[in-house]
Amino acid sequence: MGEKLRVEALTLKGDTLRFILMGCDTAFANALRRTMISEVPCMAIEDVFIFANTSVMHDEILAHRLGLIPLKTDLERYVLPERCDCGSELGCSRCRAVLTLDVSAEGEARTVYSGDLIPEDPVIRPVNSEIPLVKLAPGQALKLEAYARLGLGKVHAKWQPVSCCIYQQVDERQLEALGIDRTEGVGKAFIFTVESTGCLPPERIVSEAVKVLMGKLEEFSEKMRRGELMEEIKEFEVVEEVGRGLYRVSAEEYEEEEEEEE
Amino acid sequence: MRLRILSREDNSLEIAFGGEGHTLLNLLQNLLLKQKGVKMAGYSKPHPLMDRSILFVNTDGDKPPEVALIEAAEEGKRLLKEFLEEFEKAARQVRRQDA
Ligand SMILES: [Zn+2]
Repeated sequence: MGEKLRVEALTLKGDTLRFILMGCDTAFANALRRTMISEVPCMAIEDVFIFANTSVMHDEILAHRLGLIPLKTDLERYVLPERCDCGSELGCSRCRAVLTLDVSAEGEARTVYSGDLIPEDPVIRPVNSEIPLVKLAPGQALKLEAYARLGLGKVHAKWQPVSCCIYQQVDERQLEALGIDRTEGVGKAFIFTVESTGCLPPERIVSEAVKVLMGKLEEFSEKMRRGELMEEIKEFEVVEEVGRGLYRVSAEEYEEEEEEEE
Repeated sequence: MRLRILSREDNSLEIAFGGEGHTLLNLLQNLLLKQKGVKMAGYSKPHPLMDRSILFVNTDGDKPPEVALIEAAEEGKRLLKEFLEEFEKAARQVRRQDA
């Protein structure tokens, strides 16, 4: 089919990878981009058990701030909770990592940082230890246990492994300026910029996205071949299947609410 | 992913995808349109908050739409494999530029 796919790596700077993708359609480039943003799993705090919080910050705000801390992710040893065999609401060592926080301000005020979280699994730790969480006045204390889990960006942005994932279509002149050999005639060209939050190396995010997309096409192809084509479709599939802790609405309830309004 | 056929007439197939959206369907549509024998392919997402999308395919009759869909998926897999090989090769040559 037409021209050959080509990839040219540009630079890797910190957590930002830049590469050029040539010889594919916009649909392919866009599927890759969308998958990196919303369907490559990474770790984030999901459940927080608060034993003491005498700070000025309410429990739910604190829990939300904890959820947004990027965590180093290990995709080899952890699985998505909905794919774990344990079936437990609290999870097991394969589907959750615990981090604890036990801080009090004595004598003078102090700020609690992400670095104060003590990981049970040393691999699953905050990417940056200098993220301020809350400031404690003398005498105030914080004691909690946080459960980190793998999740997908389409459920909550805290599970987005990339802080930036974009592509820009470039023309021949721009490619020449970048020193790309165009003698073969490459068709469309896209410059990708993938910036990881630090949870995974950016090149790993790209290869994981390929794996996820490949899995989808594989599943689709298999189902077509086997003729599994009369399955029941829920209208809020993602929320019902993977949206742990989210407000759950069933299609029936939704319709009832609509009728009541009328 | 859940699939459900909505209608199947002559050379047309309309199929609903549960739990999938633009990411997969736009790619499938594109791969279908590039195929010989496919007269029309399109998709829609009836409601942005619902995880349900609908794909429509119409072929010229030499090839049933089911076959066109399987071929599109296989072509997508081939492209992804090719991309991954090329990407891994390029990633090994990447220039680290740390300030
Ligand atoms: Zn488990």
